Amino acid sequence: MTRHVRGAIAALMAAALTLNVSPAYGYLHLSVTTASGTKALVWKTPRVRWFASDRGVPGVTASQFQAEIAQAFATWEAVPTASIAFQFVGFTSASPNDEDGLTVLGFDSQPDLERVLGATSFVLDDVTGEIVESDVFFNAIFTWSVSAAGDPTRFDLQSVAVHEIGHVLGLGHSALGETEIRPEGGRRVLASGAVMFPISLGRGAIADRTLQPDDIAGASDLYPDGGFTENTGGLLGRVLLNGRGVLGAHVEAMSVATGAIIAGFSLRESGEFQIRGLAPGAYVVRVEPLDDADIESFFSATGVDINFQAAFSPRLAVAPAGGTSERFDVTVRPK
Amino acid sequence: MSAIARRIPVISLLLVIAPALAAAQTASLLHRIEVAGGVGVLMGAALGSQNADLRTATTGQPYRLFSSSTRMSAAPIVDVRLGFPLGGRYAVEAHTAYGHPEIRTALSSDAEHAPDLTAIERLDQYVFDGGLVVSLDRWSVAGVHPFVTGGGGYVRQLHEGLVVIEDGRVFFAGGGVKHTIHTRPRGFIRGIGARADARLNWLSGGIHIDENVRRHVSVSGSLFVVF
Repeated sequence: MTRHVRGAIAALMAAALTLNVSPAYGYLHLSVTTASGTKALVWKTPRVRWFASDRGVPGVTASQFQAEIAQAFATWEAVPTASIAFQFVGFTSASPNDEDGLTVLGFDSQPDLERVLGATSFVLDDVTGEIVESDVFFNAIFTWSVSAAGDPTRFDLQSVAVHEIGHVLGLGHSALGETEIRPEGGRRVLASGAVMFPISLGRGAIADRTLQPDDIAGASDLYPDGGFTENTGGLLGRVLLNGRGVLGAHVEAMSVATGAIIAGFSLRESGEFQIRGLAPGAYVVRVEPLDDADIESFFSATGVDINFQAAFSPRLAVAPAGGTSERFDVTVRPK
Repeated sequence: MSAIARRIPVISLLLVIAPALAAAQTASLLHRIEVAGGVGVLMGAALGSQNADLRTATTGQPYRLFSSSTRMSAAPIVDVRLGFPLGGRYAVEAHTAYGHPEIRTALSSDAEHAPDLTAIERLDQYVFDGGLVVSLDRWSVAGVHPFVTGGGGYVRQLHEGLVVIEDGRVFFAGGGVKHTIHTRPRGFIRGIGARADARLNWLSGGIHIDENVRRHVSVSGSLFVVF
């Protein structure tokens, strides 16, 4: 008998994951463990039908909200190497937190989540990993903007929506970013290389309206289309410290030709990593500890090692079309 | 006095005969196919710089994770030429060369203080080109015949593991000298000699970072056989 399980992933501020991540992939895909193994969370319907909440907030009417969300969905639909489609059905008074078979996006006031801008939850078929329903709430305790140029005093709704819809697709968080700890607690983002980085660039920032190579590779790996599988390649290697594998290292691949960065993690005790969705060519590989956000905002693993120095691989790695590189090791030193 | 007077005509005679022999040699090699094989060096060139930039909240000011600068190193080459005379001073030549250069990417300025390092990959590079050769016989000296050449062709680069191929174009201009060591008036092989080539190659496409065309100097020395 098929059971439905409900999970949630908070976004843009650290919060605990209740879902697994798939260890085989570079960028994190949400997954669920079933009796038959680990299944990536994916939509299997050709067109995801969604509803917009009819509730507005100061500065954002319900119709403005719907337009911004539709644009955010269109951003993901426009990825040429991924096949995913969405359809706006209509407005609803249903809450974005109800398990009702409807995929609803809307504002909701969650004062207890004072550092969470938005969150995505799922109803899953825990046998197949199919997403049955996914709701997104945008925390109404914050002030929101739909200004085309952004509003320096408010959070940009479309940017946060693009991030949350990435979760709706089944993507986890990217660690492609740099932060510093605030004296008053929490972290301040210095820079981000992916929309799926878990911490917001802040009020007024609209950069996350545009997908980055890491986001595109992640979505394309889940919903491949347009020759993605045949025309892109992967890197396969291990991160080693004192001769043993490093668990949880963040591994970044930068194209020598274009500068595009796609990243992943070593998610096995052996230190093995695999980064997929790379345009064929040569890559600089850089390894760093996972220390720019709470580890739990990426995955719920124990034994993650962050006590090593960032390092480059001494060899350029080559991603072939439709395959993976020769396996190589990157050795790091303790801090 | 008289001895000196006798030598002058002899030397003069040799000077007169030598150009005649050279002309005879050149004439005997006309309308013959020439095959040459040799070794040389393809000099390196900068391929460009690339920064690992992340986005910041302030537009126009990226956060630099690290910097990289890439160049192709100099490498030995082996090359083969096949020449077809067109008559007069002109010939066309097909040429192929193989080299095994390194791609060297210098990594620096890491935001988290990763030690600077040069990451390396080896390429297999093949050049297939053709061009026009113009002999400059009026500047020949002591049997050494200069020539100039120019043309274009195709570059094929295979990354390490030979699984990724990059294509490009090459245009070149250069010149060199030939010296015929031995000739025969008849027979399958009509002559052998040596030649030296120097070329300035403009490579576009292939492995590159900036869009600009790279310039590589190549020099080679070959032995040739005339059939």
